[in-house]
Amino acid sequence: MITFPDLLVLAVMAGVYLLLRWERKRYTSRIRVLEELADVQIREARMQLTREIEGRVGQDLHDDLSASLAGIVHQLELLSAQTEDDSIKRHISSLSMQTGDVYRSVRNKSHLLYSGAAENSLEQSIKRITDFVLPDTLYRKEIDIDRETDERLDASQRIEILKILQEAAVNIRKHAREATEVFVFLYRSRDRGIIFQVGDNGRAVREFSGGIGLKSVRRRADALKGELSIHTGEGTVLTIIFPENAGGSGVPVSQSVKQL
Amino acid sequence: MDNRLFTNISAIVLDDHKLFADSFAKLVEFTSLFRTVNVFYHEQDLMQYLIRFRTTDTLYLFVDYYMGDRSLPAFLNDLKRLSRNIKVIVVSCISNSFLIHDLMKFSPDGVIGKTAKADALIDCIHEVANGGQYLSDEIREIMARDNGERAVPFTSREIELLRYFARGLSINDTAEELKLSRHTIAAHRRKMMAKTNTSSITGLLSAAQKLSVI
Repeated sequence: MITFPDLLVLAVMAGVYLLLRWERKRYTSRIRVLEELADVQIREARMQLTREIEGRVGQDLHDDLSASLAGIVHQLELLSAQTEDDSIKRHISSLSMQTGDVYRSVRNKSHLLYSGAAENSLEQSIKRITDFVLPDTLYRKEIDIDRETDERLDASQRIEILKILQEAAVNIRKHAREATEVFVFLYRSRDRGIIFQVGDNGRAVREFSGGIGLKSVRRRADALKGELSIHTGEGTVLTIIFPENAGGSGVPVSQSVKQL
Repeated sequence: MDNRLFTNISAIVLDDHKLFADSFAKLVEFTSLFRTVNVFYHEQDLMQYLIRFRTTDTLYLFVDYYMGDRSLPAFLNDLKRLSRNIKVIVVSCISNSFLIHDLMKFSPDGVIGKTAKADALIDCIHEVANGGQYLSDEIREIMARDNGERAVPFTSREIELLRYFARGLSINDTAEELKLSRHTIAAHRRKMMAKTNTSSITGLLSAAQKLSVI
């Protein structure tokens, strides 16, 4: 005979069981999202690295081969000046022209390599990460990335930026109340250096001031030798201003490799 | 031209690519404008040479922009200290526009392509001897094409916004038109002011007008 207290115990047990199952499901799905996010991050970082490596290969190919070919063109020109024989002169001139063609073709090909494919641009990586964390169905996005500024960065700087973006985007998703709009800007100011900004129009929250996310952003800002500031008003803006290159030789870091 | 102008002048070719350095040196010799032509493959060797034969004579240095890991700007000042009358002619097949921009900051006496023919080289030497700056046609072309682009630091989105501002629309109006928040529009505007080094909307608009984007 089942008594009322028995029923109560059973009901409580079932309730606890369901609650635990629900919690577990929630955690599993949260972990899955985090794993996917890590995958997206790794894929984009790898893409930026590939871009850098292809750039180097393209530059090396260009520098070495084009200098050799240019050298050959010079020697042919000198050779031509040493002979009076017209047929030999003509022959040399044709050789010189062919070498010139090879030179131009090498140059164009290596150029394609080091200018990189469009989907490798920082803007595309930024769009993909932003879209993953902050879906279009929930947020309007303004992504404005200056192409020239992108070209002036090296792979490690780009990867730091992507990681900062990820922290900032996750933070907006988790904490920015009523945020409907997000912007991501990368640009250059002649006086101040390179500026990276992530902003949202949500109600300002305090969570960012102390959490693990901020610590990580701060560490990445340090890696960029930059300054981090967070401004709250009608929304929140995270700004990192960092110098153009760490080397200070007046040449972009990516040109620690020969490029000319 | 007066070839005697060069009787006391030596030329130096500095490039870590040996085949190129040697061939280019032969081309320089071929112009028979210089008393001597020396070739160096490492900038340290050139420094040593300059320290040993300290001279006040004019030197023409034909140099690649990148020497292994070091670029010309990194050792240009040292060179100028050792030899005050040094003329620097950059020999490169540079085609990247912002690198040309960086290069111009060091105001080289000349920039000539690696595949330059003897007549271009002679033109270059003359221009530099007359105190001018020689730039190869190729470099000029890239700079001209680039000035159009580089002069406009704005993205297409920014130009769209500038047009709203130019029509007298406030941040609020623009936000409403574009269905964006004031917050984002204000951030866009601050970004454009930072790019143009201006501190007010009037300053920004007049900068944009000068660039004829509005």
